[in-house]
Amino acid sequence: MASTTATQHRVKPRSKVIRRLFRNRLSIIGILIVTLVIFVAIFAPWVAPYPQDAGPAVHFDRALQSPSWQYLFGTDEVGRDILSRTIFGARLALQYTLVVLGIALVVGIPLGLIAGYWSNSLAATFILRVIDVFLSVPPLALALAVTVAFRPSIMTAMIAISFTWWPWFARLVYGEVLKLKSQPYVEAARSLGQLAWIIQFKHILPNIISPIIVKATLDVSFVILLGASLSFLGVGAQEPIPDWGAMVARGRNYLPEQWWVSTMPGLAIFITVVGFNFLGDGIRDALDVWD
Amino acid sequence: MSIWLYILRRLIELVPTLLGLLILIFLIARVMPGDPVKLALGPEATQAQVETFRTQLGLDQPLWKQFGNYVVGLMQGEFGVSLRTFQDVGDDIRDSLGATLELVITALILAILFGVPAGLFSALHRDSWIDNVTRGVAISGVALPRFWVGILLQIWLASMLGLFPIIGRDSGIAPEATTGFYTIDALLNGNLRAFVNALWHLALPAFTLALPSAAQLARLTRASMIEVFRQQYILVHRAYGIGPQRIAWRYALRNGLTAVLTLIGLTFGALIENAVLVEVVFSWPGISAYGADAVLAKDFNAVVAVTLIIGLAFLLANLIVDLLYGVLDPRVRYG
Amino acid sequence: MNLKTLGLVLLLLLGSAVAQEFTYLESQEVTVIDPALHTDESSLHAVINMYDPLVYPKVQEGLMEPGPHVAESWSVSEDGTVYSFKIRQGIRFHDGSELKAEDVAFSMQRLLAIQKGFSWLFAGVLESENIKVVDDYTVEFKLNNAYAPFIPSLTQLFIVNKDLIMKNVEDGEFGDFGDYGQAFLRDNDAGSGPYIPARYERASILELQRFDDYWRGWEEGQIERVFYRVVEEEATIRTLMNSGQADMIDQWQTPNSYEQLANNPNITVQEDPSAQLFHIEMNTQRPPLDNLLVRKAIAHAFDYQTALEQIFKGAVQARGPVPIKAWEAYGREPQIEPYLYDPELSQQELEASGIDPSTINLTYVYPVGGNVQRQVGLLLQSNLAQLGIKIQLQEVPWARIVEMSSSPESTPDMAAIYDTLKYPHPDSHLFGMYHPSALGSYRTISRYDVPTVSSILEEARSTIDIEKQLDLYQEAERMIVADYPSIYVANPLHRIAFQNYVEGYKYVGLLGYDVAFYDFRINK
Repeated sequence: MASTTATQHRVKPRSKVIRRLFRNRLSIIGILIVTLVIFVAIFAPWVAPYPQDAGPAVHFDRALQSPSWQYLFGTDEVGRDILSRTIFGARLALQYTLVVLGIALVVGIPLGLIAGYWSNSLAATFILRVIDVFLSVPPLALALAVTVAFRPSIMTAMIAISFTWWPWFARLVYGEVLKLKSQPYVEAARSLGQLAWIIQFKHILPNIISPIIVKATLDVSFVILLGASLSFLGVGAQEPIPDWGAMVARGRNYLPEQWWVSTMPGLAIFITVVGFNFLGDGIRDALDVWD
Repeated sequence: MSIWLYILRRLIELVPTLLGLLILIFLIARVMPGDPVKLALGPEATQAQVETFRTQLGLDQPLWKQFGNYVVGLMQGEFGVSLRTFQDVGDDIRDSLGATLELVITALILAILFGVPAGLFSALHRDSWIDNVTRGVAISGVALPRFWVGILLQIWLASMLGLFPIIGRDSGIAPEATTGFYTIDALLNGNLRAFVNALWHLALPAFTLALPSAAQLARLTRASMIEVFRQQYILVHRAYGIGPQRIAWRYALRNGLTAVLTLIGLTFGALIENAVLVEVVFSWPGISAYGADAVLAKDFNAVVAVTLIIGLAFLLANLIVDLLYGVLDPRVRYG
Repeated sequence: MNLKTLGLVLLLLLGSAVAQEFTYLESQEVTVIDPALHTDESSLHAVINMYDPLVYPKVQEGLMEPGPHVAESWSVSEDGTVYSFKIRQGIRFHDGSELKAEDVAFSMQRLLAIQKGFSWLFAGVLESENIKVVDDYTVEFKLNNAYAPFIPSLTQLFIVNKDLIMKNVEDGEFGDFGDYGQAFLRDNDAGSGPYIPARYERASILELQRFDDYWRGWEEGQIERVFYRVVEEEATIRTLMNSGQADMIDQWQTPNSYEQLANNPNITVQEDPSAQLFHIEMNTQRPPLDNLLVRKAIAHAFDYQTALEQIFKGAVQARGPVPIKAWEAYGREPQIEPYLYDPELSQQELEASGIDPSTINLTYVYPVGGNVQRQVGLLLQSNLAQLGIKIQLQEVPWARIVEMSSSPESTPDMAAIYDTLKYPHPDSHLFGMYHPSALGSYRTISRYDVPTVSSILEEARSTIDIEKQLDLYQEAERMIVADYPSIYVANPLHRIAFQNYVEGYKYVGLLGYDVAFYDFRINK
């Protein structure tokens, strides 16, 4: 792969980063949204007007009611309050993204470090090949195949997605390590005879953490949307789990007449994705790192 | 090293990657538990029928042998029998591959046409309200599920306003197939009506597919352009008093584009992958929808073939991108 | 010029709206058009419109009972094993040659040899060598044993053109017959039916053109050209119907969709009592559902009324596995009382079973996209929660359900299944679901195996006297229902929607036969 000019990376004082983060209007909106989503997720049982509707409950007598003061987001085809389900959905969305990104980071970072640090070794060649293979697997296809093969649930799907996600982090880390390896301070540490893993974790990792954070923040939205796609294809979250993607996907049959069934959870996805993107971009600008 | 040798080397390097992909997908497709044969033959099929068909498909052999047979068949251009159509998967996907590529390439063009200029514009006016609006719009484009956007476009633009057809690739006037691209085939036949018709049918699905990718491209173009602006030599130019607009077009764009190019390669992959959502909504007879149906029906030969082809398309797109680097950035050496 | 007129102009310029064209929307793809391979409804539609079956349900009289078609008449021997069919003279295949007894025999032999599609109907019933061509217009089938549903099964025997196929065989496993023309029939037809395929793309479109020399003749207002389009999305299907770009849609939309379409004054939604069964099969082999009392408790805990009114939007409660309409076709009234929603009874039965409800955790499986099944599952889940029983809903691909049901270990606890009559006879829903020889399919998730019932079913199949035969089937059904192998929920309404100008649509309850384009008239 051809490379463009390397960028200097410096660890910036935290206060300066935060100040820069708050300077941009969009970043502030992002922070507000993300905080709101996290707040709602944590306090869902207290925030939701009809918390029982997130579990096994049906009220056919009030099915498909349009938004009103009583049901702000309307009700779905079995009469559940969509607002309550959307609020509980925030929990799930955050859980899934934590799982996917968690696995991707845990697998991707070490492999990227190894491949980058010993870039001419056999292990590196092997890792890079495996990365290539996994990068060429479409995540949606793999998740679909794996969920069909095993017990279909959103968790299975998310774990499958993580398997296609780690190579992106591995490649990112690999590239960054390659750039940093020849930096004087790394070479100095090496000539002092420090152990390889200490150099990697103490000197290299802190300097590449920013692009990783930026990517992870931006990836949150892709994971949420991928979940929606899986539900659209019929292998997403199982009922009665209040998953946003599944709600949008199942509600689409009611468009346009009963638009609120899929639009309201869609709005939740929209706002969350926008929030995380603004935040991600903001962090990137503040840290001064670039893809 | 000459460019041809470089291409050859890259192509050879593809082989182990493809083989790895094949093994991975083959395992997943075959390990799916249970018996897809029964599904193919219907619920009332007798045990004898099932056994006969299993033998025909070679499923009674050990896995490594099945894999060997599959690779041998692949060399001869055979992808194995589909459990749903009872014909070679290759015959099934021949038509649908053209449909998907036509859709994806049109979407890619749209994404580039909308995304790259928007990103450039945003970068030139960094942190202004224009920048904020562009970024807001771009992020909104990423934030909506494609299938949802598609259905709404059908309802508004196609049905209520009647501006576009709701589904399909043509209104019963498909041109004779040569390339599988209806637009190109129509032009080859000199059939202008079919050409316009095909284009007209392409519009909504391609736009739906392109929207998030255009948004993504806009954001990434912005980011890489800003990085280029920060670099030393631009600062030098600026110090010489060359105006920012001129710098942008003459110097920065070229360098920024190399980074954007990588993103276009990735965008192509994302488009093929997400084509399934659009194909289903617009009844577009493409390979992605075929593949998704195949997975749900455990049509294992079809699953392997589709994944392999999409994977190959992705790898080739990246190869082309790498080659284009050389055209745009003289500093890159093929080595 | 505003946008709407611009759109209309574009449509006129670019579309190709010609009179007597017909667009039918189906949500499943047309996987095959070969009459020895089809199993699903969409493929069956293609076959019915391109081929002629040996016998045809009496659609015009509103009956599913088979009447003459290619076979002008038939006779059965005293012992019920030899069937002799007189073939109608003057039927032309699409290539102009005449359909003769030879073709009928060949079609059956081909079906039996290929062993796919609907060949299971005749497996073990008829051997290839016992098919005799007596003369050009007489063919004889000698069955292994007397077999009650034989004539009804023949609604699935479509006659193919022997000469045309033999001219186009490729190498294959069938000796002199090569591949029996399977490669040829993938994209071509060899039929005598009212329509000829003009274009066939499995996943998107089947275009049919009228066959001018069709033996039943043509009259004013019949459809000349059919676009049979595959559209998966429900919202899209409604959009196409509402904008007048489609003339008719299939029966697989959710009740809510038809309700919406009925609001459009230009659209007719026809509702008929269906020969379909919607039930929740309960695995009678695995604890705790192997306990009759538990099954009984569950069946009486389900709120049928809400399901019928709110989910099915009007349906008849099923009274056992055989759809009420199938009994009526044979002049019988269903004699079984439906299960009732009775929480108290339910509670008592559960206590009598001695099983602690909090230990019960069941899986409820339904196919991907099954909107009705999902809502029924949610209702059952909340009903059973009252008893303290937990169930997990699992939406899985259809393929998974098929394979889960193939072995006792993997069969789920419960499954929500729509089951349409495969041939117009009660045998379809009794023998096919409750005789142990049928075990291993989605129809037998109950894994019901009761020797007394099995022997009654066997006896019924070989009984020639029709009244006695029906008595036996009814007795078997009574015994089965008393064992609670399923929650028999509904005989849902069969709904189909079409533009008001479409006339002549008739539903008789048999899979596929309602969408015979030849029967429709366009009255614009």
